[in-house]
Amino acid sequence: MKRKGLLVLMLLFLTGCQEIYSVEDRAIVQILGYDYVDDKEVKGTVGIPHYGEEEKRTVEELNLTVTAQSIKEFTDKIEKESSKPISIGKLTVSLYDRELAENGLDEFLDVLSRDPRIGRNIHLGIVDGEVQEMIEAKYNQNETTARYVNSIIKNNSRRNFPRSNLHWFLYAYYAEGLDGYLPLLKKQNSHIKVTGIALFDKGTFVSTVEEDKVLILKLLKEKVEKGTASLPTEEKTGIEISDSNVKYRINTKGEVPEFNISLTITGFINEIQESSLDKEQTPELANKLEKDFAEYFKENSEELIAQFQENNTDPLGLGNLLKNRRQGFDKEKWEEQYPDVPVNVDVDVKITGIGISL
Amino acid sequence: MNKISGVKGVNIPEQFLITPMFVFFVIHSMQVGVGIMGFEGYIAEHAGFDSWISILIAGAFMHIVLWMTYSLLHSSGGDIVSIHRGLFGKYIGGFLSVVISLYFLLLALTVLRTFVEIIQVWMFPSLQMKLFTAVFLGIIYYLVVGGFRLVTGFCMISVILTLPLLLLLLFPIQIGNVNYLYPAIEHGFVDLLASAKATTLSFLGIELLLIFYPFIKKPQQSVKWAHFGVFFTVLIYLATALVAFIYYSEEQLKQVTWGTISLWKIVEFPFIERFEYIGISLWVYVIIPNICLAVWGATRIPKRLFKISQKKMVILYCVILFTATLLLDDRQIVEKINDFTSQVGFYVLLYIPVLFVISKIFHKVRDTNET
Repeated sequence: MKRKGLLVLMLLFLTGCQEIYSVEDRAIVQILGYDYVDDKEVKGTVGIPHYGEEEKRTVEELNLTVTAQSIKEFTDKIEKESSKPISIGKLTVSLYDRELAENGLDEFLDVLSRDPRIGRNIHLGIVDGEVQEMIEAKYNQNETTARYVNSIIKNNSRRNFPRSNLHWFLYAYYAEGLDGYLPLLKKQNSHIKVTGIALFDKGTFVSTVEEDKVLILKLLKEKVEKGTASLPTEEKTGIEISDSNVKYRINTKGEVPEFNISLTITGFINEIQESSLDKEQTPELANKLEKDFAEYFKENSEELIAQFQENNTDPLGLGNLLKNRRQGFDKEKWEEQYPDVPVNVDVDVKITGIGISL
Repeated sequence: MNKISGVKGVNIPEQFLITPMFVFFVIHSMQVGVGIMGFEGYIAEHAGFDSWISILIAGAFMHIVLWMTYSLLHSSGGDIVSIHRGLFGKYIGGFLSVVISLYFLLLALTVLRTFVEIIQVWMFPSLQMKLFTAVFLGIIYYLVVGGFRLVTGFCMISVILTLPLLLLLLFPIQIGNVNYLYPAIEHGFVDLLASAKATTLSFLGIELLLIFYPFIKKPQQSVKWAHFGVFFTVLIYLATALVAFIYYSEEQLKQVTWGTISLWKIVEFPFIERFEYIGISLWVYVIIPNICLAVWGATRIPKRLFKISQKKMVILYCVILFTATLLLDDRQIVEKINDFTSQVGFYVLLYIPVLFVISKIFHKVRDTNET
């Protein structure tokens, strides 16, 4: 009995033999970005938070930049420059510059999807400008760049920007007939701004959605519970969207499939310029605004879809939809058809309120 | 009936018997092992996203095989060893029983090796396989030597402890896309059957009933619990597969080696960043009873055949498992052994209906000759 107990104790203490990593002794990479140098080389920059003494509660960020020919070599080189072993498990943001994205991100995506230490909810972003500059710049006293960029992307995806993270991008990257998109970031003085959406054809950056059309893409992809748009007329009428719903239908009777997208938007008016306000005609005015907004969304959606087709990118996943709803999907045939495939958008806007003042 | 067939039932003292309800836990634990960690990719290979239908087909097949197993055992009153002896005689029957024993050893090896692989890839890349396997087999030896009742108890703990893991499926559902999971049966029936066959590795395990049947207190009452067990397994697999199908895109699923563990990666709690670590650690509770049952079944057969002490056989089999685990040290080989076991298991499952038919004919011929 005594011997058995001793054995159990020994097993218990054996667990202490596993190598222990203390947080202070590790370089925890939170942001990682790559710049294009030339055909063969990339320049990688990492941001490692460095926590100061407890009384001061300051966060400094240590940046390392190296140029390497492959990602593997990059990791080795970074390790050489760091005084502590590198940990990649807390990575929250990974950035790529425009040129790199235009040349294809396939290699980087492969590494990200293969590594078990990397989470699926990290954010990817395309930078208009130099990544190194963006990561190295100081923005706010008590916030690291990683946190800053992360919260910018997160905050905006709650409003006008479509959601994106590593998982969704990989989902689209591997799927047939579906392409991914990532937020496009730009450094402006001491701020970072999301300026649009970068559209991809598989792993290659092909086109951008401008800021004013970003909401349209979000409406076509997902449920929008908070978003704002305004009519481009002189009257400056603004709508705040409180709910939306999008449905895709395919008519596969003919040789070329026909897509019908119906979009239902519910919202309330949050801005009307006084000159157009006519207190007597509120119901008619609401009807008119509903029509105007429906027209606005329809026009913009159609423009956007035409842009997708022109650039041969399919962020709406029309091909994937077709594949799943019709037998005998022929990928090559679809790719030929895609630029000219008819897509009809039908928008229904419902205005539920005009605020608390007339 | 035993008098007519000439086969003596196996009598186990009452203190070693389990109540009928526990058959549910035994069957379920034996079925759910490492298969569930990555079966999504395998089954989608043939029938794509339609392969959830294949899970139902495979499940129905399992229920039929289970019914045959019970019918086979009811009429003989013993276990696989006595059935083999009664039908094929001492030598051929004995040989077939040894094959079944080796099959269970193979099952144990597959589960153990795959789990070690998972730990190596996901948690500790520099894991000392020797030490880990030795400690793991030590626990298994301890449990198996404790007897069938002990293992059964552990099965119950394992099922209850890992049940909350099912709730984790809610996270990927929130993120998933239902739009592309359209119930259009694009794939032919042949594809669906091929997928159903690929599902078998995940459903293997009900054959164990052939061995532990004499240990059930009132076998007649355990039938419904066994069916519940299989049904529960089918439900879990169906739920996991459907969630995986809405979470991954069809081609992405083919890139993912362990679909279910990768599903856990999206789980986010404020207090833990990587939930898959907890998931894998908790999965030890599923793996241990699974291997224990397989080793117990594998060693029970030689004991019945040659009257060797089961303890010695457990030691021998554990040593075999240890060396085999160390010898198979390559991802490719692990994949191959999974495929191989899946194939073998499929044929063992097919063997049960064959045995069923032979036994029916055998009894009929004997009955008519007697009268």
